[in-house]
Amino acid sequence: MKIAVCIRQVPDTASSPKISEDGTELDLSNVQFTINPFDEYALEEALRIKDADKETHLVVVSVGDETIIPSIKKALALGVDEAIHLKPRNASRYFDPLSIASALADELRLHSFDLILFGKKGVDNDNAQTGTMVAQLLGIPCVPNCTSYKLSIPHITAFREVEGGTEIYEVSLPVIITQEKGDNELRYPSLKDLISARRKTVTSKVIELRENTIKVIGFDYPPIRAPGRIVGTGVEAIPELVRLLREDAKVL
Amino acid sequence: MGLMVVLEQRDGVVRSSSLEILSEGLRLAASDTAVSAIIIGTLLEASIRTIESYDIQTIYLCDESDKDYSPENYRDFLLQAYALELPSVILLPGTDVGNDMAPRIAAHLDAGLATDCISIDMSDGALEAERPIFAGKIIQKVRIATNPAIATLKRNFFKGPNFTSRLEGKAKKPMVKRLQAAKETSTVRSTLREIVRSKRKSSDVTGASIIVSGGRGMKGPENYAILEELAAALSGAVGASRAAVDAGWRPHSDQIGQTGKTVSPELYVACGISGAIQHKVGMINSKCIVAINHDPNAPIFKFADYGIVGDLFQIIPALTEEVRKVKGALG
Ligand SMILES: Cc1cc2nc3c(=O)[nH]c(=O)nc-3n(C[C@H](O)[C@H](O)[C@H](O)COP(=O)(O)OP(=O)(O)OC[C@H]3O[C@@H](n4cnc5c(N)ncnc54)[C@H](O)[C@@H]3O)c2cc1C
Ligand SMILES: Nc1ncnc2c1ncn2[C@@H]1O[C@H](COP(=O)(O)O)[C@@H](O)[C@H]1O
Repeated sequence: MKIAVCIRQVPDTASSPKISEDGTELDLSNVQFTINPFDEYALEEALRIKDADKETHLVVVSVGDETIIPSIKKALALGVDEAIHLKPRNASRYFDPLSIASALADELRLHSFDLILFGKKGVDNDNAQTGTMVAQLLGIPCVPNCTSYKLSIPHITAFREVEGGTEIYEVSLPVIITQEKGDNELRYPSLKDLISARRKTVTSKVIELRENTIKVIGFDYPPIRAPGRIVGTGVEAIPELVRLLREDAKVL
Repeated sequence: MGLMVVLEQRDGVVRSSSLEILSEGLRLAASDTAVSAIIIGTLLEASIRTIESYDIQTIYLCDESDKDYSPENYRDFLLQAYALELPSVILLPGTDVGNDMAPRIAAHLDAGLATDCISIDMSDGALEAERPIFAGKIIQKVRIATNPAIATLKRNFFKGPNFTSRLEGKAKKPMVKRLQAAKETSTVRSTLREIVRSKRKSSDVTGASIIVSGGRGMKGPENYAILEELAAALSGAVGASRAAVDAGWRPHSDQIGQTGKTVSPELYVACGISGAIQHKVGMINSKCIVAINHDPNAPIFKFADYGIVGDLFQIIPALTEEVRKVKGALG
């Protein structure tokens, strides 16, 4: 079994990016970066498959500049066997999902992965497109937003979370799954893991990204909410709260 | 130039999120652009009736009653309709189906896609859109440089006028064209085996207009009974913070926040939730936010419209009583 997990590096969810004076760029200089949370869930699922079957070969693939190395190293320390780092030559601040998807598809095509995992979305640009696009470009099926799946080679049963319930899909491999948060807890690398990860292979390739299909014109902050107030303390405050909800907010 | 909207129907009724994009599509198209619509499903005749009075030129009906649902079939219908119409803009609803279909067709048509847009407009012949990024902390403005340009529209953001009849009664009835599924469906497909509907009494948080949400302060899964009662009194749904979901008290489908759902109900009642940034971004667009927390310094009070400081185990049951009383009095 060969599994690829595509990982992206994103600003920490607790951070608040600032917009440049002229409104055309995001200032991420004081921001802490991490592996995209949904990619971490995808990694965890893949590591569990490897825990159960040591023959599994697990590869991470990432498109980005040198700054993504710590995320790649972390994945290796967690138990990933090998990493492929695709470095765009024509680096610009913004890459749209179709250009990333094309670059990933070109690389993935050279291998024969049975299972290719993505996060359901990057928590930076909130696109939720890349994995599904790669599946189209490779001509393989894709089940987006899965909380979990069960392998019974050569098939996979995937559980997709949708409004009001769960859809259960049956698909034959190879397949792309985009990972929704599931029930599994994440593991953390030990110091020993981090040290032994240094010996693992990172293959770097310089690539040419296709032209963006989407141009970013600028950024803005959302409107600020008017400050609220504390209505009172304890059960005595309830009648006043209900009155406010009815008469002022008009939501009851 | 033409504009195509992809509409979703359930049990023969076009969904409200789809009517939102249809109205927005008609506004965008103005008077010089033909609007076509596509509906895929089984109860198609009934669905047409719900949109017949809109000023749509052509409605494509894709009957999939003889097939198991498969996203690949659905995608192929969209590509078929696209090839007949060649619109320069395609709009889809920001729902599970729309968000699944949009990247599929974008990759096939080599087209730019902006997901979950909160506003769209044409500028110099290209589609421009605003969309929240970083879970809504920033609004990104983009220009889609391809033909076609594809966008999914976030639910509840396009509640503009209904363009029921742009031609003031003179709207012609739409032309209806039926599309057949290709006989040879590709082997590259995923087959939907089963849909497991959630068995819960209260409704789903997505789309609920009132949400009562509980966090770590609820102390255990059994205590959600008092939230269920409050939600029932308000005809709302029950949500949860990640702390409650990670503790195994509530399913992930109830989680509100950055790694859960983004909601924007009329009323959001946060009970025993501290208001961490990752929770805040999932509910900050609610029209009215109420917080119940015994810690007056909890961050949630900084952005709640109304707060009550106190023990939720006393306040929630009493609030439920008061709501019942008031609603009873209103009849
Ligand atoms: C990558 C990432 C993604 C995340 N995604 C999400 C997400 O999608 N959604 C989410 O919610 N969180 C998310 N989090 C977690 C988030 O940071 C917080 O840890 C979480 O929201 C805390 O949940 P809570 O408010 O229920 O618990 P706590 O922060 O522990 O707050 C509990 C609150 O209950 C109050 N309380 C306790 N007892 C009572 C009582 N008897 N009466 C009244 N009040 C009481 C306390 O005063 C406290 O304010 C994410 C974190 C990370 C790192
Ligand atoms: N630069 C990248 N390199 C590798 N994988 C990526 C990259 N960008 C996005 N992905 C993958 O695609 C998923 C969805 O990203 P997005 O479509 O941008 O929301 C992420 O969770 C990753 O798994």
